Amino acid sequence: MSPARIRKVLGPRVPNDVAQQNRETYRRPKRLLTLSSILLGSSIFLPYWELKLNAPQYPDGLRVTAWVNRLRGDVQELEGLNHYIGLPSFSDGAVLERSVSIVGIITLAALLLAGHYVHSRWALCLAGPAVLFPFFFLADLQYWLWNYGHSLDPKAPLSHAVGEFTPPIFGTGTIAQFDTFAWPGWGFLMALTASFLAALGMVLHRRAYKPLALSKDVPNTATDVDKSVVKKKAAHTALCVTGLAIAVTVGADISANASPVQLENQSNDLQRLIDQAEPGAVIDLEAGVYTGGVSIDKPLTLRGTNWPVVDGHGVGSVIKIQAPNVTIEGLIIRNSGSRLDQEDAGISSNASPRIKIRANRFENVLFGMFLRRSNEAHILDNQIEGMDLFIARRGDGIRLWQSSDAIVEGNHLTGGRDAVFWFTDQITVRRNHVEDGRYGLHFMYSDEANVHENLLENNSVGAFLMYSTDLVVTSNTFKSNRGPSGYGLGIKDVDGLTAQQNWFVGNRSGLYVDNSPSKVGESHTITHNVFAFNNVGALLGSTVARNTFTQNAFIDNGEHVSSDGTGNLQANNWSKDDIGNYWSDYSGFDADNNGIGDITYRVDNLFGDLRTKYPNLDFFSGTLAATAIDMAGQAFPHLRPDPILTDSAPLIAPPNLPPISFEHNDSKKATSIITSAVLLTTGLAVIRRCRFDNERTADTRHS
Amino acid sequence: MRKLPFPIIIFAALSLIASACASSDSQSNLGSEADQIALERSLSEADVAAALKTYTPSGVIDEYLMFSSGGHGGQVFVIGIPSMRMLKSIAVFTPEPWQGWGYGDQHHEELFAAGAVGDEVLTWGDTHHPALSETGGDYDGQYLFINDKANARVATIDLRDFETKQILKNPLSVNDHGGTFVTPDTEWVIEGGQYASPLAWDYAPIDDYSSEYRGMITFWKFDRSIGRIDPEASFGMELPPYWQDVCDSGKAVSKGWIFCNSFNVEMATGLDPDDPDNTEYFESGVSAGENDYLHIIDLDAAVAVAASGQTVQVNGFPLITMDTAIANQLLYFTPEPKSPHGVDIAPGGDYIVVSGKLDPHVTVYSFEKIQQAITKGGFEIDRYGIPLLDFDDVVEAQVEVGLGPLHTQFDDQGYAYTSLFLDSDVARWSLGPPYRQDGWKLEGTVDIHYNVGHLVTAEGDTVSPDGKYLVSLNKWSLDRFFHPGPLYPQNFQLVDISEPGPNMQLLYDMPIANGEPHYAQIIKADKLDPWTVYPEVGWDPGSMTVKPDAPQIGTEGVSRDGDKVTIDMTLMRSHFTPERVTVKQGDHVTWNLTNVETSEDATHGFAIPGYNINLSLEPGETATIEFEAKHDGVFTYYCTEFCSALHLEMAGYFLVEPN
Repeated sequence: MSPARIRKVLGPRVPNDVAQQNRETYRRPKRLLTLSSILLGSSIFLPYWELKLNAPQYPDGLRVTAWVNRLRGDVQELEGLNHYIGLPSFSDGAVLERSVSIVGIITLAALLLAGHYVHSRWALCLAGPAVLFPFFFLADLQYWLWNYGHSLDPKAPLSHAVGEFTPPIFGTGTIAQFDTFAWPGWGFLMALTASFLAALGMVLHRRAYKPLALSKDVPNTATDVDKSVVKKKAAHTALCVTGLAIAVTVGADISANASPVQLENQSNDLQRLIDQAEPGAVIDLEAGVYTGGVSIDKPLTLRGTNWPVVDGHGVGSVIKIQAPNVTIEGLIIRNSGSRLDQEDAGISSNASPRIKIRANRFENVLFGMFLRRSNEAHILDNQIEGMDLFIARRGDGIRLWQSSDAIVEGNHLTGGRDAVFWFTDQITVRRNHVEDGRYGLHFMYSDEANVHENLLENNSVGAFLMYSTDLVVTSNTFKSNRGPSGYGLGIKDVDGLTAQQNWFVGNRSGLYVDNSPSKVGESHTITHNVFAFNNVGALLGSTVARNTFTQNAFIDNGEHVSSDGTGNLQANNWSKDDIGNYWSDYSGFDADNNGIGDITYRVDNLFGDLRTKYPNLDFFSGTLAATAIDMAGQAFPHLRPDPILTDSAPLIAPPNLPPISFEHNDSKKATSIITSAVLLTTGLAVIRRCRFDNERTADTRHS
Repeated sequence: MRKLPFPIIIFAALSLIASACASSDSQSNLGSEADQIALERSLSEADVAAALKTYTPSGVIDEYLMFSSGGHGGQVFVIGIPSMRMLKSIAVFTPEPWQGWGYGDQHHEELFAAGAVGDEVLTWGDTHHPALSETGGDYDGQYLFINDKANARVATIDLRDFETKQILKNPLSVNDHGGTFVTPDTEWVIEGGQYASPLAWDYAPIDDYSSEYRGMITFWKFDRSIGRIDPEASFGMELPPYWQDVCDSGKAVSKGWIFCNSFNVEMATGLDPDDPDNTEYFESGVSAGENDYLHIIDLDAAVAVAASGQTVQVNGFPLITMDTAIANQLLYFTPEPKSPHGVDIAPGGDYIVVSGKLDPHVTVYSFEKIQQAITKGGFEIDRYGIPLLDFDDVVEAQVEVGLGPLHTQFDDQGYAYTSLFLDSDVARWSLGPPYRQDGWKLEGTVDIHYNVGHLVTAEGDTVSPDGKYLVSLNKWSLDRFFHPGPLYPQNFQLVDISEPGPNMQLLYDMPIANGEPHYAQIIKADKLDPWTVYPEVGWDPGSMTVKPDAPQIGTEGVSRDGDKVTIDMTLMRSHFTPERVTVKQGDHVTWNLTNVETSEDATHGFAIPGYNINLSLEPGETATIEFEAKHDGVFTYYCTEFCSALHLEMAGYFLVEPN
């Protein structure tokens, strides 16, 4: 497109003096367009059309609400009824419209915004679709309503009783024994208002710019353009692009997440498929909604493409497995019952070895997966969202009981209660992300477990491992677990522990150790971990002994190490082979430059000790004076109380911190919002610059 | 922070320390001697305060008394609060020679025989839950009941002389746990079962667990006029084999209702020796399920049903069957978090608190909501047909308190206290309305040492707790005391709970060296009015009346009827009357003794060497021993309890002529 063409499309520029004199004339249409755009864009979040049906056997009536891309309400009930009179399924109606609606409306809104820059008649093309949109919607809706009413399946049991009909778009009507009443939703009204505003905007737009186009005095060439205007345009364009990017991303996200009209297939379809399948068969499920509460009693694979939904409708467990070698993957499993005493779960199993549960999404389930006596389970890459209930009332995201040799990897648990592993030996728990729960992980009598690269954050307790032996706990992140106990990792009565390269950050107590090792003669080595920003870095019971802490980094904890009880922790080792730990409050010399401090590090807590004797001193907690006292304590040995611990080889610098191994799976929305935000900021910055420049230019002109 | 010159820092620090010490000094009103001692013994100010709160000078009586079970020592301890001084160990199921319990005294032999299983006389018990008698929901200081978990027995202790008066063997069950608990006017003493087994001590193979094994709850009728449980008016109720655990009686608004928790609704039956693949120990099987059942029993209605004769006789004891209970709406279940260990009723009877054990929450049920749910109807039923109330309908609140909550007690400020076994803490949390307006939240915790089971607050089980003191019954003492060999004592810790808010102060550690207590109750000492001496000389502690033919001064002597010899003896400082007793070998000896003293603390002992006989006779007390004079020879009987300046001289000769 040649520059001349572009200029013609863009239309006349408004000279500055004209702009200054008639500011309002040019601003008003822009405001209206902006307002219209916002209204239209926001309308997708509200319903467009609502229908209510009353009949004696439905005392509360039935109600259906239509958004631009989906139906909600008593859709399933209505589908069932529709079936009897031969109406087609809702999923068949307006497919094209529903799939493009979100993006389409956003595009219309964006086009309105573009009208800011187009001063020629072409602006009408930009605004036109938005103006016409509500009427198009009504026409389309009317068409489909007529279509449905005249497409009755003659084979349906009651199709002849009803006869052909057209449900009214608005107002009262009758369908069979139902009295119906339909009315426009707020979304539609917003779109209608937007249409009106856009039309008005166009009128003002033409009034403002048409004279300019006709006038021959107005410079119309690009040569007169000065740099600041170009910058301004660029900024505005950036703004528009940003806005569009945000809008399209959000819209796409909404489209993606808002399932297309999801309706039940015939109930018991899924159970029938299961019952009819040969043992070992693979059942491929396409997108759609299947009734849950199904039982699988033979080896089988259920594999979903495009996220079919298995919906438990709030009753019982969604999928019950009582057979070996069952695989469930690619499903959305949702709406289990909410009975704790019935152990309602997304997937419930008993005596079913070698289950594979892979890449499913669990939504609104009480227990996510409850596996009993089901050895060699593989639970991989699932998303599990619990029920919105008080935390003690929820079920556990994953619960394994008497199910050994399991691999639990790559799962994301959120809003559940615990991830529980009781009486499960030889399990691998790796790369899971458990957040907003109660116990991120809870082990009891589960020996020989591997716990690697998990992220346990914002739970009441990150992990509590008790009465279990031979646990390898490495490269995990225990972050911000702050319930009443608030342990990042709690260990109780554990022997054979390896704890390395973990991050303990921002918990009440990073590590809590109770009677571990428990067997006399056993010892543990705790090394290469980071304890940072916890109230207490490591909290050890006062009788805990035979742990060796070496090459850990204790960074800015309220207290690096504390004893739960009176007494000291000197029955543990705080260095090994002349290599101790890094303590962020260590001040000492390293004369021989070997990276090890020459003065022994002591956790004395002289100030804390004085504070216990003289509670008035509490006033000085955390102050410079307190630090001074602790320094004094180091200078005057006879003031020093018994140390809680001594590290004779404290590291001068932190050791190489372990890698943070857990990657968050950020959604695309986040990245695009960030990108958009960056663009937006840049755009705004440029605009400010332009304005500033303009004002300066204006000033210089006038001065 | 800019580097200050080193000396200045030191100077600042030292002056700070000096001023702090000085200011503390000037604030101290204890005097220099006390400060000196505190310094020498490295006592902090908190230590000194704790000492002041617990030290009880010579001659001053404790404000409260704590009655604690002795566990498998088989006895009940009496401990003064706040001094934490052991005052008495009341012998119950286990013979105890110092107090002459079970070494020849006929009365004791009758008690032990009453508690026998068949003809097996048991000489130990596992006491768990003492229950002080109540009137109007408050302790009246008259009686104490205690259970024997090992053998399903209950005992009645009279608090006029702090002695066991009655031992009863439960005819329905082999062992118990949820006992003893009393109703607010102590018309009923409750004993709940625990490990399920066939009723009436019958046999059934374990494969018949669900059909033959049962739990039970027994309601013993207490007749205060005679100070004894009346087994004839008592009855039991059959329960499913869910391993009931601890019970509690409703009070105030929930008076007439009984609550028990359970922990094996899964009906796990342990490792099966015939199934090598079965690795499910009880600990695993019992923890498999998400919920167990809180048992809710309408006792008033059950009493009426039993009275109307709708019972079956089991081992000669009336039993309301499960079917009768269901038909008459006596029993309801509602889910509780898995395997809880305890149910405790708030002072107003309005809230029922179940502590989660494996769940860091306490679950609070509302009695009013339970009633509403019962009225609403429409229940599901469990596998035995018992109605299930919906959990969401009856729960009032769940409060996260910490790891391993076990038991809850209450105070007078609307707080509840829950023991946290895993955290080794006691948590203080607030009850909601009407106790506190902004309740249902954790207020604070105090560290205890270590692993607390039960806990007790002053009068915490009554309708009007006193608060003030809390004792934590800790299972592990570890490093608290000098450890005398591998068997460590338990640790009772006294905590000051008088200050509202988050602060509770640990005051004192008391080692328990001869038992493993489970539960305790604390009563205001002035509610008790024990005797100093028995009211009349010749008093029979067994019947708690004067025995008309008890030996008195002037009626002593030895009489013979064939090979039956009767000896009437009095004990008085410092002699026995008679001082010589002669029998023939093989005679059947009936020896009656009366301590004819009327002065305080004038106890006399009586031991016959070689015959395993030792009595302790309090002033006024009369006792009888019966035995075969199997061994011939000359035996010196003597007073075992130091009684007077001439105690050594208080002796006599028991001559058994050989055949």
